[in-house]
Amino acid sequence: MNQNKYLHDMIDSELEDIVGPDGVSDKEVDIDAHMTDMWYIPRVHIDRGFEASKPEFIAYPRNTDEVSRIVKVANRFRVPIVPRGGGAGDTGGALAPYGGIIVDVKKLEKLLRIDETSLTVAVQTGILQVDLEDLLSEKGYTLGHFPASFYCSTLGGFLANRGSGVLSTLYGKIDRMVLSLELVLPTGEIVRTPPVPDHSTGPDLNSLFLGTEGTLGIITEATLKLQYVPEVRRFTAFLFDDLHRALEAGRKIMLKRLRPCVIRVYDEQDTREWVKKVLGFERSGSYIIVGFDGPKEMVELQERLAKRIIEEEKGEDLGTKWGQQWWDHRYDFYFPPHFLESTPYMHGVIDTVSTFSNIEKIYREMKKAVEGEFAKWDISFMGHFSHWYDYGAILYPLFIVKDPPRDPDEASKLYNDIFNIGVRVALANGGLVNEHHGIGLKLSRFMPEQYGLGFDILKKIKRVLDPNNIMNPGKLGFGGF
Amino acid sequence: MHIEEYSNTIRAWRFCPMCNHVCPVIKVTKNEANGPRGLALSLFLVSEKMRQFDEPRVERIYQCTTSGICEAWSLGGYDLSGMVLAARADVVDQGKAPTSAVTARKNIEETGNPFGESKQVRSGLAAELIKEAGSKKRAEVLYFIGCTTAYRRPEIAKASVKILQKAGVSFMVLEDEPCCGAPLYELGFREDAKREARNLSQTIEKSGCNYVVTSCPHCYRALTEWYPQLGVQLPSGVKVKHTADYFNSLVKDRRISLSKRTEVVTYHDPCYLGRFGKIFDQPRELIRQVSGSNFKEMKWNREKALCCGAGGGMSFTNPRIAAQIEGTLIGEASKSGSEILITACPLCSDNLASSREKLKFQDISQFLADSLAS
Repeated sequence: MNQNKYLHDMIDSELEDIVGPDGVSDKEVDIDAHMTDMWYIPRVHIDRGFEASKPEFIAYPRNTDEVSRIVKVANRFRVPIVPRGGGAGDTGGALAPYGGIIVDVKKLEKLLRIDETSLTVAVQTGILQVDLEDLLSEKGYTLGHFPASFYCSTLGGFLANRGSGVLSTLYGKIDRMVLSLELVLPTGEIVRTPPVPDHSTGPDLNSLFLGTEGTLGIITEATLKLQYVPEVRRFTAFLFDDLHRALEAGRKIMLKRLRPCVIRVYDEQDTREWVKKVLGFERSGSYIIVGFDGPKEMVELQERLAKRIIEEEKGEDLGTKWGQQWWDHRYDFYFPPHFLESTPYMHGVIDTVSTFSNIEKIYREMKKAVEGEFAKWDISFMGHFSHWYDYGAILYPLFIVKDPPRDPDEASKLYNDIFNIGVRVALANGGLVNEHHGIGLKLSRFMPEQYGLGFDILKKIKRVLDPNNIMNPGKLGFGGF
Repeated sequence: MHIEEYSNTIRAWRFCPMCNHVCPVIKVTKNEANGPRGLALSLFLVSEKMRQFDEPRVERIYQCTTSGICEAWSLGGYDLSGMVLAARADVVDQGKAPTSAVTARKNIEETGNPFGESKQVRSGLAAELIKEAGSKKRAEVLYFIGCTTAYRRPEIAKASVKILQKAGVSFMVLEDEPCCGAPLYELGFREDAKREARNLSQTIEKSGCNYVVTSCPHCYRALTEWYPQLGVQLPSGVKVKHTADYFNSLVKDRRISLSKRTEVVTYHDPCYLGRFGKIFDQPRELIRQVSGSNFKEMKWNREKALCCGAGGGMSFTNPRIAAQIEGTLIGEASKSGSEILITACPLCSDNLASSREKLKFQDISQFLADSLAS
């Protein structure tokens, strides 16, 4: 037996001791299933007949204590830990480029308690969002978090990436719903943050861990704010001649302190291609959805006020039928055959967020730069604006190259070059590297550009909390293993 | 390879996690290799000759109930369960079927049933039913018992015969009933399934019946869908009916009448009867005749009904996972507030019987037999 084999078997044995024989696998068939998420780079390599990076083990802890013990084993053997939920991210965040142990948290799926007085829920983070929402809706509650990966992502994945759901304009990004967290630190200790976040007792510890993508620990439990399932939830579609007027309408709705649950503005090309393809809407212009939910009287009043703004911006009211059509089919975009990962196309989303002053400019500059720079690839670039704040909005731009290079390394280079151009346009104009998909491996290289000296602070925190650099190495701009 | 026919499905799903959440096996194991994406990716790697059908890969291919629930949630008509069944046929062609599957096949060859139990058990039950039927050599209806009913849930056959009798149907039961071949097909043994199909088809021809009526959705699917795929035709003019469908027509024709009952009941759509057979309304119409407004739907029903866990050969190859899956179904049935969970498949009943969770369950034939108006 060589030394590597001996170490492999020892780690296997120790993991099995923690999680039982059914709780760990090093079988190739199981490892294969964990060598991809939805990121283009592993997909294109696998598609072209190449291997993608793989873990050595997948472990399935059943409780926080088991997570802690696994992390301690990893520290002792100096092997990387990669937390994984549904494996639905598109940044490589849940992949294992340096091997090691994927800690699959999907067995941590218990709804622990609901505080019906304060309307909060304590829940383990491996629960799929669809399952959590099902359990809550049975009692008349909702988290209000309905992202595209609603069916396939875990709560922990959202917390680790500061995800947004389609109704985030009212309900907020997932991190805004958090009261407190339990997590396992990179050295295996279990820590709990204070019970509520709105205090004057030092800094907000939740913020230190939310969005850190498993690099500073594994979030195992969260207490989150709930809402009542609304009495009424209604979506109305409108059509504008051009994107600018549609964005203006959205901006005014937000600044006049209306509180829509959704504003979703599609640019002319997105309207022409995807809205037509998936929803069957065949007119040209900029298609937008505006939705409100809550008590009936408040919904009706807000709808009236929003329609007044939209009329001033020359939007055409298409009625609730087309709004409801979007809500009923909002996930269809992500199933085959619409699902772009099912096609031979290269595609990516260069989502960013900025103020109202900047966001339209970022869109136009990014479109011009990407279409100009990659014209020879016949690239198409379209976008929508789907999460709104009272200072600005997300830009969700999608690029598609229908005939990318056959060679996976060339394809990867082209893919990265497109992001280099797109992200730097955002950064140069007041946008951020990403809004809600996270950084992972895909966008790691932009973290120093985003944060400047601030990134040194993050690196120092990482070094202190994770002295052996075992927690999800290579992600979020931190060093590799 | 058989999976080549499914290359579109494999390519469409090898990177898509969207239906993992409804996969009954992933719900239990949490292993992504068990879900639609994991299986499609695994088969892609095999089809690209990057991987072989080694033992663990084969094990995952057999850890699928072929419930079709992932297809019900997906768009585009991709045949994911067909892809898995094709993969099993390839595994068998390469002589790599798991021991449990090979044992079931051998049992069918030697004893005529996948459980390896004595033929006398089935012929004894058949003799009992034939006595009730009046020892006919030819009849309008051939009641086909099926292996699981015969060896695991004979009360379903007895209840079915009681209803046929009450309706005055001219029916017969085979003295020496063979396996229909469904378990063989589900486990990948297509040549063996074809042999059984030919045998049963000839037996049906000799019987001279116009209808084959069975309580088993797996037999029903084999006779209606897989036999033609295997190139085996049933005798011209013979129609195949599931008991839920046939009994409903007996009620509509006023050949039996049912009395009202007050228990709150719910109905579980068996995967092969509902999603694949599209028989959703008939069992509900029957139950409503008896229970009226005391019939409560479970949250997930019809096309999106949960899987009991026993299908796709899982009761032979992975009984422990099958039993765990079944716990989810019982949980849903309990939430509906029902006192009786009605199903229409002996595999579902058998799996429910093995559960530690306590909830009264009945096959629809038993429920109806208990509700026959005097």
